[in-house]
Amino acid sequence: MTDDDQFGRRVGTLLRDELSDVHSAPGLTDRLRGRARRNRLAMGTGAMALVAIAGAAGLVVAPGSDAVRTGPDLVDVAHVRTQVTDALARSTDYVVLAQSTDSVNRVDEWTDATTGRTREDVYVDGKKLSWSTVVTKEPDGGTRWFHVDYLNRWWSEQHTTAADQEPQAVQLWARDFHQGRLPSPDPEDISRALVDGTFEIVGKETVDGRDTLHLRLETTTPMYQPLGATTAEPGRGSVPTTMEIWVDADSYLPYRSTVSRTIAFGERTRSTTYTWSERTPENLKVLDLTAPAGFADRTGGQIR
Amino acid sequence: MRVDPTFEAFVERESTALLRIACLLTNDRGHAEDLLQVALLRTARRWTVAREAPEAYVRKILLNLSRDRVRWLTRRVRERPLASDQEAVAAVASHDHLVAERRLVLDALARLPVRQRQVVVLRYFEDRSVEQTAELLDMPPGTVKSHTSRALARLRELLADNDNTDLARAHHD
Repeated sequence: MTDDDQFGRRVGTLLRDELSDVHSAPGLTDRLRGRARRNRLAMGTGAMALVAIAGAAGLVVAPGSDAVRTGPDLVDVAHVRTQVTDALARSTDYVVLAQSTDSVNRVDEWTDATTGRTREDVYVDGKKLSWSTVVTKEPDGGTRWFHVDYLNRWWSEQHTTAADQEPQAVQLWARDFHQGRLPSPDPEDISRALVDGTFEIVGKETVDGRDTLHLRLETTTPMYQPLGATTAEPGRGSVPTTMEIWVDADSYLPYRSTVSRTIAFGERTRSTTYTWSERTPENLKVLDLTAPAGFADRTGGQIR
Repeated sequence: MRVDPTFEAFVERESTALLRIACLLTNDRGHAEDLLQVALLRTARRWTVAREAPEAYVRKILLNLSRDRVRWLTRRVRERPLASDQEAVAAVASHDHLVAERRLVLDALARLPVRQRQVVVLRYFEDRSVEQTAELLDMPPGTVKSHTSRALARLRELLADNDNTDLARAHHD
């Protein structure tokens, strides 16, 4: 046995001794019943906004009678809205990976909301990794951009102070890239849609073996400006947009979303799956992008 | 409301052990009881699935809830304890060295990051193997080992600051 094991075992013994007089109170099951009843009553207060979710069980289904339910849970729209908004407010606790696909692109986007660092990997035709960009917010309010173009084998790094505009190259790239794209399904946008849009609970669903609540948001999003426009064109307005979101039934964090809106060429839909990872050094490594060996340095627009 | 008798028996059999784990994870008896009730309610709702391996199922929920709670605590104004534990320990230490040592270990455990605390609780309080701990925490065994190593090193440091403990003396040389 190693010294570590001996020490650990001694710690364990002391902890067991310390807690030897801790016992659960009798009648715990009764208290659970009461708590379950109170939870349901609390959820039932917003009667006008109630949606019955079929298939939700009561406390426990009796043995051998899986089909027997003690009555549907009533899910208050306002309650769910609060839970989802609160869960999204906790996005700073995670590194969030949003993997989005539409008919054209596949984009993987990692966000560390605590530091504001993001990484975006874009796959041309949804298959080949084409470029990656890491954006880092600096303490002085500036921004650092690190961009690797895998197709053309070059990389560049740019820095702007808080007072600067975005670098022109990035600005043009971003506008080209965003032209025709659907609204970003990031936590901030979802929160905004929850507040601004019309919101309904579709029901409980199992997605990829996970229990989720299916929500539908009807909202509007700004119409994109045409290429070449240097300022927003007045009167272009906004277009109706539907967001379907499946939030985890326990954490209320989004697991999947689809965003659909009608544009000039018909309806486009993007589907996004979210992975919420702990902010460990290991998980944050994805934001440390480096240029592959042999790639040209085009920082400042020049090949170095 | 009907309750599955097997769930009731499970609660009867396991609740004390679970409450003790919750106490170690939260370092607060009231919060531990609350955490346990939430974990049991969630287990109850999924009993048809959970009853295959309810001990592991409810522990996973407890561990996740304790992690969520730590995150929540870091975003809000800290509550102050009603009485100073340090003073209580000092008072006890003068006449009961062993009790003081146990309290110091408990206090040191509470100061570990949540993952390290969870690993120590599962490995040494519950006597679980690295593999069982890895499964409960949904992490690779190598990560469990590194968390364990860091946790024990930190515990040694914390206990060495209170060098009147036998544990610190015995293991810090």
